[in-house]
Amino acid sequence: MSDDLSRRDFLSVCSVLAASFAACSSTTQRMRVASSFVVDPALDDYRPALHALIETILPHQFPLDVATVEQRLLHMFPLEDERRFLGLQRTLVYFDQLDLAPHVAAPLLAAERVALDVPARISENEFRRQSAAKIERESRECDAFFQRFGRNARFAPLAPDARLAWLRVWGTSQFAVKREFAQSLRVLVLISAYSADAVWPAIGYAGPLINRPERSS
Amino acid sequence: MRTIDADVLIIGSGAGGGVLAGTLTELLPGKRIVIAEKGGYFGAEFFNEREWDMRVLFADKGRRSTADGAIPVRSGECVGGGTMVSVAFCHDPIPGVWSNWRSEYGVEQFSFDREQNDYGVAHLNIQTSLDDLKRRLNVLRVSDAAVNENNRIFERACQASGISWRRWERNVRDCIGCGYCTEGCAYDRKLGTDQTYILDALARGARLIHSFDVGSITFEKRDGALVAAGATGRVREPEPGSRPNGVTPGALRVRAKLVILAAGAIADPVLLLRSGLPDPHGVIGRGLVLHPSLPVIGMMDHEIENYRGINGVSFSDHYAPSHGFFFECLFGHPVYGAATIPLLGDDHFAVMQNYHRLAAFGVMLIDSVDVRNRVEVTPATTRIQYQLSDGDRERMRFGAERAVELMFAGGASEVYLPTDEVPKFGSAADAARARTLQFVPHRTTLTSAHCQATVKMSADPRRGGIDSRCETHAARNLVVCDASSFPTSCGANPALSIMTLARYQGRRIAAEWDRYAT
Repeated sequence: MSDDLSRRDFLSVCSVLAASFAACSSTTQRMRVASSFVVDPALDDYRPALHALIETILPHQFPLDVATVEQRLLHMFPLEDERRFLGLQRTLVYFDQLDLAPHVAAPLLAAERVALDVPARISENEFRRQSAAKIERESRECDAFFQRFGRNARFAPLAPDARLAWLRVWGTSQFAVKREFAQSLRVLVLISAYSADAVWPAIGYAGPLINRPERSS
Repeated sequence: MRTIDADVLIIGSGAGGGVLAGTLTELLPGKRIVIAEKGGYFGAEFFNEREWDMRVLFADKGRRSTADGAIPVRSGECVGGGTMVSVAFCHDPIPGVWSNWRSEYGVEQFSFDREQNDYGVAHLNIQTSLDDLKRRLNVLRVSDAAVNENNRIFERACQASGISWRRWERNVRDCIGCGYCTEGCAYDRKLGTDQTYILDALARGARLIHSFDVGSITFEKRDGALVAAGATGRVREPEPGSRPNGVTPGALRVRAKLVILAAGAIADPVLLLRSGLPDPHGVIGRGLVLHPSLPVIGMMDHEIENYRGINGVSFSDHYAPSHGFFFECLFGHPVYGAATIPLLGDDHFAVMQNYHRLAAFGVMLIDSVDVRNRVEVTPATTRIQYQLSDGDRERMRFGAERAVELMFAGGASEVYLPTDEVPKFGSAADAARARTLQFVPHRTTLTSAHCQATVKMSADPRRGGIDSRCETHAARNLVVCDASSFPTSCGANPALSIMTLARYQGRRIAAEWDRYAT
């Protein structure tokens, strides 16, 4: 159902993710260049990643083509028009920059602190200890991916199995914000796809009993 | 600022506020009652049985979640509130739970003996209040003829497994079994407060202001005591599709002798704290319970009637006494279904293509009170901080394992859980893998539609924000009466317990009106 989403918190936290990346920008020239994408991404910067994500989340043979699902998604979740979606755009760009994933900066840890409810539930010391272990493990997961699929720069050009694997790296990340991105993108795409009347015959769903038009799309 | 003068301002029009509005207009004729509702006023003509479109009926348009984004926290936000989008499950208040509130929280009165006269009011008790409700809401057990195949599979599975089960009582009249209860009833057959107590109240002259964001409860000092005096807020342009409003958009003040807060267990503490109600013991918003729920999906070898018919008829409280969870049969439509079914790409679609062969029910956990689970209000943010406690996680694990076994006992060839931790089970013997579930946020999807217990009743101000009259300890003439008021989970689907509390308090307030008249 629609309320399976958690857009507001998700999006606000995603901005933090983006900021975490920006905070690394002084470390290398490459990241400084990349950060400009993240701080204020243009439509062209995230569309390829979004398109590739839709292809990855939906099956090879789907009743709607990817462009139609993408169009529905951008209509139902107006990324360009609504400020609250800015975080999503930025995170899409970050998600797309594969080589940046192992870098974990302070603002990402701040988001993790909210997710873990520090200090109400765990002490600062324990949080620091856990975070160090998570960063190390995150780095190993990314290395394993690169070893298997090569050091590709972007998500969209990846082969289907590598895309799935990259989405899983995020979906099983040590950090709640990254898991949230992967899960939320999945749900966002599925909502956009399965709310369309044209998909229903393929799944044996007869649709509403009452004959009234769709309002949203 | 435009000002409306009233005797009673009720904030919220759901299970609590709606019943209070109907009851107070019935028992206090001539009193000026104003109902403030944050959401719009939608009716049968609006509902199109489409999940995404109907998100407008929910708080934050369905986007509200816990602070980590992991658990959607669902509440109705429209005239009728939760009763507008509920599946009409009616579970009587559970005497043992209220008895526990008496011994643990010092809650008083609330007799379950129908001969008792609580507060000295003739026949005021839980039973007579419940009787009133059941009559007005036409609460009746679902007939055998109305049970669809998904529910029968659940019943057969319970039977085969030696697990007790029952059928719900529901507040409907001549239900046609469309299967879209949670999208609002397009046939006016579900008897939520929008169809009953609110209509009664309006017919008796109450004033309903919807699309009204109450920003603050206002207080006055009288004889050194803090006294609620009304509320201020802003009336918005109604959402498209809403019925028109009696008040034009803009700032609005309502002055009232008695303010009743019934905006739900998330909005109530937010409003109290933002209004500056003193909270010297830091109890308001703390000890939130959510009834976190885990859907279980089974692949059957034949087509079944699942999304049509009454989609929730049967439930089991077999494990409620020992492990504190219910199995509840329910089925959703494809947007919910697609999000609930785990997996990606071709694997996901392979399940979706067999939508008409899927069976489903859920594990609903009666979660325990942990004061770290809370609605946290700061000047800049509102956060729902919630995590499963270790004990609750263990009980949920046990429930998941039993649920997977049960689905196989019902004839499923494969079983799915909404998680990438252990997404798929191939046989009943496989169910033991559910024991490894950690319910990692964003890897496993738990849902919640029953937030409760954030402004608890307790005789002790260190344990709850209100007393047994539901009056705040910190201010006079301010009553908080809805799911917030419960000290713990009410032990089952809460709608009827909330409405019973509201009917009871409405009768008490009418009899004790002099407490508030000055």
